Amino acid sequence: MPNLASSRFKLPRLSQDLQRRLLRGVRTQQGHAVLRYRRVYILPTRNGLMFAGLLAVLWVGAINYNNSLAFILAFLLGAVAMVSILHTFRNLIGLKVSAATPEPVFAGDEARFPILLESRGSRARTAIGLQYQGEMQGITDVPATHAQRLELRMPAPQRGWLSAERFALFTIYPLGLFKAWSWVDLDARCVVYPAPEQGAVPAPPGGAAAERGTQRGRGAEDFDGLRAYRTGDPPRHIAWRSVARGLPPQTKTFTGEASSRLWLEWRNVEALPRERALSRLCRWIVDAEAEGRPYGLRLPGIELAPAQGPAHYHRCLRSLALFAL
Amino acid sequence: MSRPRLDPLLPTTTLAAMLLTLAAIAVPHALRLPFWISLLALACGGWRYLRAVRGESLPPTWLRVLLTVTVVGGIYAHYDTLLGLEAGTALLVSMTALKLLEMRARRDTHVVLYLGFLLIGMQFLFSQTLPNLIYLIVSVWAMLMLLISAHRATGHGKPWQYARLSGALVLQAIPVAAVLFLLFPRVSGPLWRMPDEGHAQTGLSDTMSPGSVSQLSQSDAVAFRVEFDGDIPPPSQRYWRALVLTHYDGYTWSRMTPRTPPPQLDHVPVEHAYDILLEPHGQQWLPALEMATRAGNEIGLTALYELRSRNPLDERLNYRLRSSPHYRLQAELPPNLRQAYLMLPDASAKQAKELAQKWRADSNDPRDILRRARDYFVQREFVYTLSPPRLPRDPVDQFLFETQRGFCEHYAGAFAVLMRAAGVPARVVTGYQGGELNPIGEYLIVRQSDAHAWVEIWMDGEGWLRIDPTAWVSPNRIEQGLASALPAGEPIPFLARPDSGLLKALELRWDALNNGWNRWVLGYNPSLQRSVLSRLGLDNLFYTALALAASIALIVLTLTLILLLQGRRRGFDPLAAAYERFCRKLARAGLERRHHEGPADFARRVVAARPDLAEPVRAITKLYIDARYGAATPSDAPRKLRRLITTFRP
Repeated sequence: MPNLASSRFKLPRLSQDLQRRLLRGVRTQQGHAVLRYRRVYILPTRNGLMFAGLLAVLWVGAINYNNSLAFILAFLLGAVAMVSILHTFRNLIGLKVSAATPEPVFAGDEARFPILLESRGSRARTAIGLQYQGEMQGITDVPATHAQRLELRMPAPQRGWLSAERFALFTIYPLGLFKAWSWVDLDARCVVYPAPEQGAVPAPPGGAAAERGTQRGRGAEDFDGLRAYRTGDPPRHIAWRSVARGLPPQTKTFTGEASSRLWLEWRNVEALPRERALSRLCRWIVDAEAEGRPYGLRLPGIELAPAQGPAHYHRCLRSLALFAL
Repeated sequence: MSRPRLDPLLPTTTLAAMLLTLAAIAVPHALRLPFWISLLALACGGWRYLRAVRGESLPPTWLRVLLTVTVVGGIYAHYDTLLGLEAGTALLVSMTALKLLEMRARRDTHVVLYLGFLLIGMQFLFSQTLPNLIYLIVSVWAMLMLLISAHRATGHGKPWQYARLSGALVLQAIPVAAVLFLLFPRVSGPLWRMPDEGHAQTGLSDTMSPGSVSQLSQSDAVAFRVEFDGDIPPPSQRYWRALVLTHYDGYTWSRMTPRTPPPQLDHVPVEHAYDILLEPHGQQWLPALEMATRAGNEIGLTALYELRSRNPLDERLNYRLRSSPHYRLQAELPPNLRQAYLMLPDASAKQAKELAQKWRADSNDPRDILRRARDYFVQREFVYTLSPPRLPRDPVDQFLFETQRGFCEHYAGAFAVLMRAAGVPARVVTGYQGGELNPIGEYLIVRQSDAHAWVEIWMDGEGWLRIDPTAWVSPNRIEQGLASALPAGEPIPFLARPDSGLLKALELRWDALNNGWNRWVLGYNPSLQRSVLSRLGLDNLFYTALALAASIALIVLTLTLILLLQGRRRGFDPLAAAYERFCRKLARAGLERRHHEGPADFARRVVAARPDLAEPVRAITKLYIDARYGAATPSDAPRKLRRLITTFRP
């Protein structure tokens, strides 16, 4: 992370609520918003205050020695600081902010909201930083008529929907004397899957077959035939030999698959507290997906037929994430 | 003790640019500072750079502290103080150099750059000539460039971009700075006084001994400039009176000012009104055309009818006077003063005293004595020269009776002694005589080479009369200046020569420019500001503040409009235009891109709906996304995209 002094810049300590009321932010509508001048705030940085001190020293010196050139220097630097406000301000306003859909994460991980900064005019934007809760999370230059990506990283403590919180887009360019920033509220939310239960976990009922299967080793299952490769097929079932021969990828199927089909059911974990139950199911899904076994999920009111692959995997986890919210 | 690591974000190129800029800023200081300080600064810079290039860590704290203590001790040993301009500069330069050794991260560069701005300002305490304005602007531009490059997040910027932006900042700031300079209320200084001010300035001193004026005459430096309201008086009347020397110790004439009010001056109401812009000389005397009749309040008038400033002159002073060539000064001289003006040391000038007493024995009338004295100087072979022989024993007798070669101080001193010995009250006056007209700007330049000494004698009923014995010996000195008065082969200051051709013309032009600079920029002090502002109708602080705020607001508003409109004027974006066309084609086919849909999502939807279009849609979208969001846009991307879209038929 670049060690810019400004990253330590703290706003007055107001309660979040009061801040929200006083300091209007930019709310993205349908995923994007433009930073308008009314929403852009500007204050001197610590370096800016130091610079003011320097000007005061020069000015007092100029008075003391009645030195016209020292006056000119002090006034010129003061004027430069004044003009730099405009440049800093201009660096930020008119910037288009769009939110893209974030990748789901497991609870306890960090959610990453992709943020696209787009300079619409013919001007390049320089050193635009993203600050969340006083911490600088990224900084980038946006060339004219181009877009650049930054990420808002937020802890995702629990499963369910995680809405992006207010963050600031800021810049201290060009002189570092002033910091312009705008609060941005993204209308984006991230799905947070339950955290998979850690440690040794009892196998799911019917999972014994799976266990047997894995104990016996991969090759022991009865080979059934080949079918066309579908996205998400586990790599170890791909007929690599035919791929190597330049044929279109094919996936081996096994007779054992039907019998090792796994149902992960709510009633198996009902006895646990709800969140732990979801955690357990989550772990089972993660394990089954890793093993490449088809698995189905039954939750009250939801039934996902056994299958496998990323789409199915995420559908299951999403059901868990949003279960009974 | 853990050694501080170097910040990878202070690239060596930025560091090198910074070190070079600081070095360039410090050059004028280095010429004044003791050699070892410049050496130290260079060593610190070089060391810091080598460390950065080799990726080594910075010297440990104890070493830096040791260095700092040693350097401060060295400066104290050299100057006997840590205060004052010279020692202060030495401290600032060495502290900046030492700060380089603990400059790790970008935020430390701020401190160093701010110290650099102070170094720029410090330079002006030593010199405020016109070229220093160029030094100011160029160094501020270079320093801002460094500040800007320190704030690039990625460090990918190109130097010329920084240079341009820095130039734009300076240019945009200049109107605001000009308004601030003109309108920002000035306060009269000084707020404090440093011990070693008023150093090494040339000008007349409070005393006169053989050789002192001739030494001054070797200098081309400008003593002061004069602008007359009306006609400029003829050369023979251009006697600029500065100091009156009353006391003679046998070698040196010095001042002893009686603590009495200034004497009465009667004059005819024909006056010259003029402004003098006096170069600082570290003393209090103020030259005035003989004889000043009226002066401003800040100027004091002594019992010897000299003009004095309240404080030693450490900066240029602009003052306005009126003078009348026809005057009578101190018609009545009290007996005790008269006695004082006749005093001579017993031991010296014995021959001169004898001569004067012989004249007095012939006639008691001061007029007769004066005539005898003039005849004496005119009839004997006196030579006016800048390089008279040394007169170590008894300057008056040696000069009058042995060498008979002298500069104005010899003539004035000897004549005053003769007069006193003959019973005529006399005193020596030093100042300047003459001055050169600058046709550009119509003003007089009086240089140190115009320094002169003459005598005033007192006559009953007529007061003090100016007698210039040099004029008897060398009338050309008075009418045409120093150069024409000196014999060929004498070392005349270059600019005092009457015809130096093109160079001289250039010099006059340059002097006219400097005169404007001195008068209106350097001389823009609280009183000039008051008069300028009252001419603008801003005669109180409230209106001034209002005008200041309004003008700055106006300038800033204009700048804002220009800057923001510049940004709005969207550059034609061929990529966006091509993609727009692609979307329109699809929209006509019933597939409209939704607001929130990125190009990739849109393409996916289109392909799902119209698998037959999959290939061109994917190709177009990929090209567009790569060109728009990719790290580098190939220059032919828009053309390719246009071609693909033209042939695209949904």
